[in-house]
Amino acid sequence: MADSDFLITISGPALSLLFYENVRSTGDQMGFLLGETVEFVIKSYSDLDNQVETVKIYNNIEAVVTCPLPDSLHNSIGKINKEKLKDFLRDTSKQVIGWFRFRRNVGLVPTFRDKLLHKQFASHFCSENGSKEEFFVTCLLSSSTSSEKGTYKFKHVFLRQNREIFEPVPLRISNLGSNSFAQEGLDYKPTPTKKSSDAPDVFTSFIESLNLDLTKTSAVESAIAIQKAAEEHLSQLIPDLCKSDLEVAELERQIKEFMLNKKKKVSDNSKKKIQITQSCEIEKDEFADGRQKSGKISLSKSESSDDTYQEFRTNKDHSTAISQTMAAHKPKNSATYIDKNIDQNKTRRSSTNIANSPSQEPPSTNSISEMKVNITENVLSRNRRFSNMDSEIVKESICKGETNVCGVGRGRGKSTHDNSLKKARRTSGPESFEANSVQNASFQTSYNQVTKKKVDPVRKSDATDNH
Amino acid sequence: MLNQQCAVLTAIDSYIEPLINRVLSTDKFGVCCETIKIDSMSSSCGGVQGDRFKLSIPYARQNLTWNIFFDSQCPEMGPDFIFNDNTFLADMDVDALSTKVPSLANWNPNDENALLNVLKELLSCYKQYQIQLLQKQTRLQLQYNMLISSAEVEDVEVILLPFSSKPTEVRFLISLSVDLSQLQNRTSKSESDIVMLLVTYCGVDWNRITPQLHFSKSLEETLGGTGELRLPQFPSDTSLVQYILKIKKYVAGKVNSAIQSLEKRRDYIAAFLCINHLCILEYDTINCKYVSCILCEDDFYVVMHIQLPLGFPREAPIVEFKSVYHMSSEHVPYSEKIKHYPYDFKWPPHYMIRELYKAMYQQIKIFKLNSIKNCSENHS
Repeated sequence: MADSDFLITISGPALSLLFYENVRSTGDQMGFLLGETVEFVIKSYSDLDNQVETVKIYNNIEAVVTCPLPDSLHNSIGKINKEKLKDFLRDTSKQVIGWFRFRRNVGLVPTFRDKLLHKQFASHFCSENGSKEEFFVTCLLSSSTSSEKGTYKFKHVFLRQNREIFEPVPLRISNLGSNSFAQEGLDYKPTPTKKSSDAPDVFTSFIESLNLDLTKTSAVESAIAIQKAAEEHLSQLIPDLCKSDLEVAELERQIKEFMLNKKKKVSDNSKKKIQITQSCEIEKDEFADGRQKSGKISLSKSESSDDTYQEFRTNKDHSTAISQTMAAHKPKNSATYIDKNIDQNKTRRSSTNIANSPSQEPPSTNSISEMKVNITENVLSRNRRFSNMDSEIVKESICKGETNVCGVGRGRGKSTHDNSLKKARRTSGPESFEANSVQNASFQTSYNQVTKKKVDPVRKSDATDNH
Repeated sequence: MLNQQCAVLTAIDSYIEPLINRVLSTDKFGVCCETIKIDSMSSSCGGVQGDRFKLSIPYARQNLTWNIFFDSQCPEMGPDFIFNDNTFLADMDVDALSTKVPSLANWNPNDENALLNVLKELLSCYKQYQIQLLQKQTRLQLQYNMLISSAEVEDVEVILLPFSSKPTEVRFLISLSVDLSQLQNRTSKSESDIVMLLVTYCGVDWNRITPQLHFSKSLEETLGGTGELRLPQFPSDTSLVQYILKIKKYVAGKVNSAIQSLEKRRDYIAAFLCINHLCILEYDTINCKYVSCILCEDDFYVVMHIQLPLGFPREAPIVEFKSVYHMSSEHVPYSEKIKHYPYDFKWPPHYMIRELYKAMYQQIKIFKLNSIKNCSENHS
């Protein structure tokens, strides 16, 4: 029963963040999907007056975390290093509901190692957040370009392991505008939920500080007030965020440089069999330190990221609304083809870079130059990453007055699944913004302009795809 | 699994190249002693140097297509795989697998043999997996157990086809230990000589049995092609082991007749050299399969090429005239096969040759006329 009612939901921004991260990577990529597993019990009455209960289980993906160096998390056969995994994910490990693997120009078939990793990740993360292993998902992504580089194709599929077989899980992209699924509480319309942490999030504290009286002030006025407060908060946080992201970018660049040097050494000395392993260890340790550092920075800056989400969100809302209409036609399709021309500039840039690098050495310069170019993008991506984590909070906090919408037939934590599906709520970053009510937020920062540039083509291409 | 649209690459990423070369240059892999071949290559990051390969691996006279994924971004990381049989290693415990495929668990990119070892280990896992699948087919399972407990075979590869569904066909590729030491004049390749029996079971209750005998290439030259072999019947009530004994006898007979035939051919060529040592052009010293000499009649010269079939002396030598003056087409001399000449396999070699010669001087005149006629026709 529950099997047919298991699906993955993702917001448009989270999905585009995932694709964006994919396209940014030079080669293969892996990472984790953060979110929560939600269970709904829908009670309905049949003609015979029998009460029928249906259980629906949704995995809502709220954010993605990419893993810059997968070889530190698992070995060649795919045995995971739990210690390093914990170090890498830290607080977010409770929110991991799945993982993804991106490869260019391949079919969406899990490899030998993917299958092993899925199994281990499932048991590792499910024991941490208490959900069921069968609801842990693997997302396989692939992108390819046509020979004339005119069409960019993005493919994805979500898989879960049912007994021995990997079976596809349908994906639904939540839409801002659609209200039809409101009772299931997984679209943009927020629903009140009980949170494990009682600390108010950023958005709630904003609303409280503004002392809005929604009955007296008009909707527009209150929206503008919220927007202004958000803008102020953002502009305070941007410099810090920028600094930390630059630092992360620099560390990533250094790691890549180390890796390339090492690769060169490996290929040069493969016959001499020089013991490079020691130096590798050192490098790896350095990397681990660097990552921890960056992790600390990012976590400490999570507040700031929350706010930048605002900016991203408002820009994205329109585009996702459009793209959703497209996706909504086939919500049951487990693998959806989305042809997009997003980020063409970037992909072209990276592909030309690669094309210009015929031998070993150029990639090093290539990656450096790309890092330089990407610094601003990095900032943005990080914003998105963190900001997406808050989408759920956003929707929860807004809806305090809307209990009716999702009243009937909704129930959380049904007794049988009470423990297993107990929500792994965020403990960090308890701040958020109301994004829905803020429209056309225009920030005077350069970052915002970059974001807009990035989004516009998406909007256009989505619109054209709809025809 | 690799995208077909992707451009076919020719360069291999430098750190993978020694590993792949090692795999491709290994000439003995599995029972059938064939080589692994590379089907296609592509790059994970859209570059010009390939790090993804599609290999076809010989197993039970089937080609297993395995996709191998390296990651140029992580040269330390070992390869990843997609097997064409997706039920293989679908649900494995990582620790159990680490003991079965140690070369992958302790991947060392500096070891040239690393990839080859991983493939070997995986292939042996695959074999175990197929044997495990065979457990469900009690009849064949029994045959298999009898087979491996007998000393008659060296190695067996089992495969159940089609993959990942209810099997309709089971193949046993059995490497037979046959004494080939009596075969003389073998080249250095003789070490990899192998006699294989492929037994295919299909049909209801596995009642339809098709045996096929295969020789390795160099052995095929000595024993003749396997196409014309008339294998003994395989009634479905006899066991595989019994049949293998039959086959071994059959192969031994084949080897014996090959040895005898070689001796006869050698005698024939020896006699030929004695009689016509002045006009010999060339002859096969190893397998004694042919001899050619030059003949003259009325100042007309002609090359006589005598081919000795493997069935000699029961099969008559094939005699062919080749003109030294005329071409039938560019670079091909005019030639004619002489079909009728006196021959009896009971004759001693020197008598055979004398009789042949007698007849040939008559034939040369006809050949002379024919070749001139043919040539003038071509020119006119």
